[in-house]
Amino acid sequence: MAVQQVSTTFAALGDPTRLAILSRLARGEATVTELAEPFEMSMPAITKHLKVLENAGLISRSRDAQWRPCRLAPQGFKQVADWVEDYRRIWEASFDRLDEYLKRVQREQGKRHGRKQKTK
Amino acid sequence: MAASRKPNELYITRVFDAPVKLVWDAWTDPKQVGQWWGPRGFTLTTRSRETRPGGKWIYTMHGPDGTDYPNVTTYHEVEKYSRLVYDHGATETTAPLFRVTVDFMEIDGKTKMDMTMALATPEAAQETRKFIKKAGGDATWDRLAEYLHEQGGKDKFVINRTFEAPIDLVFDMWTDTRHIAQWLPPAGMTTKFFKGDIKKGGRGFWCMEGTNGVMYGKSEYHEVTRPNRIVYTQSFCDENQRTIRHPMAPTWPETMLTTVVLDAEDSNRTRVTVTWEVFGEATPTERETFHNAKPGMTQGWTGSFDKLESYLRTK
Repeated sequence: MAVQQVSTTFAALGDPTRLAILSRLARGEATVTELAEPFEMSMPAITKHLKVLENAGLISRSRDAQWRPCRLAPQGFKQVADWVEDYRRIWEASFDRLDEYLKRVQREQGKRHGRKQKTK
Repeated sequence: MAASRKPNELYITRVFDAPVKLVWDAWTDPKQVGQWWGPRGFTLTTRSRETRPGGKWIYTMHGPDGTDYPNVTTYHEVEKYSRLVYDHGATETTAPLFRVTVDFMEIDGKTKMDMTMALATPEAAQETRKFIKKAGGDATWDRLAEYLHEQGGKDKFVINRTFEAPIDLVFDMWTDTRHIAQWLPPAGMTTKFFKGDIKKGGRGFWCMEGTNGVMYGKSEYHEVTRPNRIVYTQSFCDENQRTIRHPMAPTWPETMLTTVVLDAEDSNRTRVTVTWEVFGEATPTERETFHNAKPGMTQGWTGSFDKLESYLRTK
C-alpha cells in the first residue's frame, strides 16, 4: 500500500463525523440525505466529508443512480486493517524472537554452569 | 514481588501512571470499564453492576468476530481505592473460573496494582495461563494503561509479554548489544551496532541490512536502571547519524520514546511491558499518524472499526 494512501486514509478516519458515517454505512448503503439526518450539519458539509472518505478509498458512490447512494469500499478498509495489524505485529514478532532467543541462551547457560539454583 | 508464591496462583504486577482514584474509577465505573476491559478488539455491555461485598457485575463481552461472551462477577471484598476480591469468569449457569484479589497502592502519583488469580490446582493455573495468553487477555492491562494515559491527555501505545526467564537475564537482553542484535530487528534483517553505549546518557547507532537495502537507526538512553527499567529514544537516520524520516511512512513521528519495564512474576518468569509514545516536538500530523495507527486505542475509532471489520468479513 502506498505511503501517501495510508496517510490519506488515516486522516480520513481521524474525525468523529466521518466515523459515524462509516458506522451507518456498515449497516448498508445510504443516500446523502439519509446520512445527514443524525447530524446538525448542512448538506454541503456532509458532502465534503463524503468526498474525503471517497478520496481515501473508504467509500464509493454510484455514478448512475439519481441519488448516488454511498457504500463502503471493502478493499480500502482491508488495506487499513492490514497496515494497522502490522504495526502491533512489529512488537509481537520481536517478542516471539526474544522468547526463542531466551530459551537458547538459557539452554547454553545451563550447559556451561549446570542448572541454576532456584529460590523458592 | 510478594514474599511467597504458590503454584496454583497467577500473579500480575503493573504500575499505572495515574493516581489510585482514576484507576479505581476506571475499574468500577461501568462506562469506563467498557473502554478497556478484555482483549483488544473486544467491546463490552454492562447489564448491571453492584460493586459491594456480595454484589454482582453482569456483563457481556463482544468479540471482534461478533461472538458474545456472557459473564457474571461476584464481589467478596470491596475496599475503596485499595482492594477488590471477586470470583471471575462465571455465567448465569456455570461456576466461576478463579478467585481474583487485586490490591491498589498509590506511590508518587502512580498506582501499583498487585493481582493474584487463585485456581483450584497448579495444573488449572498452568491451563489458565495458557488460555489467557491465547485469548489475548494480557492485553487488557495495556488497554487500561492506554486508557489512563488518554484520560491524562497523553497518547501512548502499550504492549506486554511474559517470558520464562529470570529478570536479570531479560534485562541483559535489552542492554547488551550482542543480545539486542539477536532478537530486536525484524526477521530477515541482520543488525550491526557501530555504537552501543547502553547506560544513562549513552547512545546507540546501528545499521540493519535486508533484501530491501540498508537502514540506519540511532538511540539515546535516558534511563537504564537494573533490574527493571530502560528508557530510550529512537529515530531513523542516515549513515552520518543525521535524523531522517521513516522510509515507509513520511508522516510517522521523527523520534519515538520507548519505556521498558520489567516485573518478576516469580524467580523464573518476567513480564515485559513496553510503552511507546511520540517524543519531543512533533507536528499535529505526526501525532495524528501515531494516534490513528494504534489499534484498539481510541473509543470512537475502535467501536466503529470493529463493526466495520465484522461487516467486511461477511463480504
